[in-house]
Amino acid sequence: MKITELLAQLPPTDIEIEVEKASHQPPSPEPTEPTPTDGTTKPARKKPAVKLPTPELAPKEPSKFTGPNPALAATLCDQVLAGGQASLLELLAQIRPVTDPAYQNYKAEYLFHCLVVHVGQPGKERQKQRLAEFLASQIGNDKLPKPTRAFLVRELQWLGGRESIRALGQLLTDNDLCEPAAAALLNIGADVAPIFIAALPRANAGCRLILTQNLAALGTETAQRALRSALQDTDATVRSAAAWGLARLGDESSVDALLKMAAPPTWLLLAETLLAKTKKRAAARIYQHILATRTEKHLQQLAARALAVLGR
Amino acid sequence: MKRILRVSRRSFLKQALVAGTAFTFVPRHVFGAEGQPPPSETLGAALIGCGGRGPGTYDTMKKSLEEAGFGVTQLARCDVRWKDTADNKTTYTDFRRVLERTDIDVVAIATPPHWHALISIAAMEAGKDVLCEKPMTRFIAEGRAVVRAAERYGRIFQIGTFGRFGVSKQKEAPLRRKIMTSGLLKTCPGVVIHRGGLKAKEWSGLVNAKPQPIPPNLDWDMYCGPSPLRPYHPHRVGGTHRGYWDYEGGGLADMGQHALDPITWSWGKDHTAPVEVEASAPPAHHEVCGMWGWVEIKYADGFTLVLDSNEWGDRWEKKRSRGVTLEDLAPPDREKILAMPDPEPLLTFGQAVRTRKPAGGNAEAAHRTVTAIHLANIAIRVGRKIQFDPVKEVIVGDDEANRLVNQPMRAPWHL
Repeated sequence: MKITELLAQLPPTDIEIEVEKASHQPPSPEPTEPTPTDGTTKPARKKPAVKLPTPELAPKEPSKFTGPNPALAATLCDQVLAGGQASLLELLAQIRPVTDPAYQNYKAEYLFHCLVVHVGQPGKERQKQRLAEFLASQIGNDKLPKPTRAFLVRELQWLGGRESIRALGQLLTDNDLCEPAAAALLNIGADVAPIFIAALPRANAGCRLILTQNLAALGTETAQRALRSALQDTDATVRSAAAWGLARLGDESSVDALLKMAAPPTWLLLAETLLAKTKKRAAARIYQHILATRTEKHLQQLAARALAVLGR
Repeated sequence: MKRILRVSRRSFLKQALVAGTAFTFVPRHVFGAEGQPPPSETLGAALIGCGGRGPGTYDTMKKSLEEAGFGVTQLARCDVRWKDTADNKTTYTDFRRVLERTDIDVVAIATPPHWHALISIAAMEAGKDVLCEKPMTRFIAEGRAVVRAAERYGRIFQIGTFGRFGVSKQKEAPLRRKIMTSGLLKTCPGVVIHRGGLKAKEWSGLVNAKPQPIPPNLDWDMYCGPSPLRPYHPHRVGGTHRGYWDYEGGGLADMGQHALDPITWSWGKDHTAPVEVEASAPPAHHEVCGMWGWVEIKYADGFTLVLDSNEWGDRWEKKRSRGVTLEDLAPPDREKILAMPDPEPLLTFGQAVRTRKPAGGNAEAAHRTVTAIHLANIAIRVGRKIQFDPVKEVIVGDDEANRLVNQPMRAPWHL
């Protein structure tokens, strides 16, 4: 079955339903303005006529999403998957940005997302792997519009695994795709730190911030050196993200640098991670610094409490 | 509450010289007019997120503080829609500028929920107490971060829904809470079905919506904040934001915390979360929240909680509602329950600020309640039953679903 035929089986949106209903009803008479009966001259409020889009425009109109029966959706997904790569390409070709004059409706993009969720079920690991590989093979496709590629990258946030790391890594210096690609890599988690690190020297300030923050969010020791270097970045937001990452890692060698450049929340995070690593002396230095340099009552109390617990 | 003023030596001397009153000490009580709280008891307040529920949330906070004997002065309001009019003195577009002010003690937050956690945390880092609109968060990991911030900085957090305050004063709910928290009921046969009023259709998002020009008064980048920077459409702001996963989670997220707040208190679930959640819904859209039928939420002790939208598909009819009473316990255990003291009265926000004890709708309780809602939405989004570990706060055995527990944030925002 052709993809367009499968898409046609998805249910209409609420506006399409209304249009369909209206097309089977005789036109209602124009509402007449009732005459005031209470002696006032104030005219009664006229009820506005509900304007519905014409049937040919209805599928393109903004409309509330209703969604199909789960069993129907599962059948449609299985049919697409049974068609293999050719069906996936056919479906992908139907996905258009909403601003594209050839845009039909939301259904192609939605069915693609249904596929992603469908193969995430237990027992469909092989199909999941194939779909992830397909997505990874398409996110670098320059012939696809950028919004479509961004959509595919965001789908990899859902199901991407090791097979996607390389393809996602290639987007980390692309201004439009860096953010969703980094988010997808962060979700994949394991072993992606070197990909972020490798992209850093080639990235502009915007992407460097995204890379540094996601490197920091990974919280892996392999990021430590790159984060220390990022403390010297020319961009203040990059430096701040690096400081946060080093605080999360409890990097003892960064205490002095962070006390100079970061803010109390980062200091406290660093102190807590140092304590978790039983590096009490370094943590105590941070609390003492807070006592010595901050006047806010809640910070003073917090530092005093921590130092008391540490016996200092 | 004593306010902390952060004034540098240089700026203090400068101001003092200008005023010509350097080093003149005036007793604090002199400033307090008769019948008015003295200055140390007058709190500086701010509202962040001024549309929709904003004024109502602020009034709730003010009333609660006044009932606890505080004076309240509104010093700042902040909204991303005021890009063209904000004066950065009393009106702002960037909440960070509001939180820098040392004369502000309490903050009401009524932005869309994708901002709730980050602003709550930032406010508590700055030493403010917080009353935050519901739902508390957009995803589960945010809630734990808010709880940690409240503990770390010793701040008061109260969620902006108060159903538990009502039920805690009834006769049955406190007794049920005693039974449930006593540990004497080994397996809970209780079933609560909340049907309707969850606005599934009303708070669904729009598909096929074409981007539109950003209004000149709106800081769209700041509005999107930690969520992806999408093309602008007016349906994404001003209340209808509820229909988009980027900002909230449909009617379920919006009304769910209201519905569950009294239930989680009376069934003793303030310190735990569900272990299994199943949903009946059409496959979810990736950006917009849509229709759903019901969600079945199970806790480790067997307690079953059902939210039925009554708007899609078949009703949930696996069991009938069932309460828990003393009859469910052996006679000696009944005596133990009756001998137990009643639960401590819940503290209002104002009372909590006064006593520095946790508010009735404190961060942990609010987080545990909204966790059930987030799990329900995750079950809807992945279309399958999920298992949750309430201690580690992760979804077990389902990597795809678990990716929705702690979602990436757009830089520079992070937890």
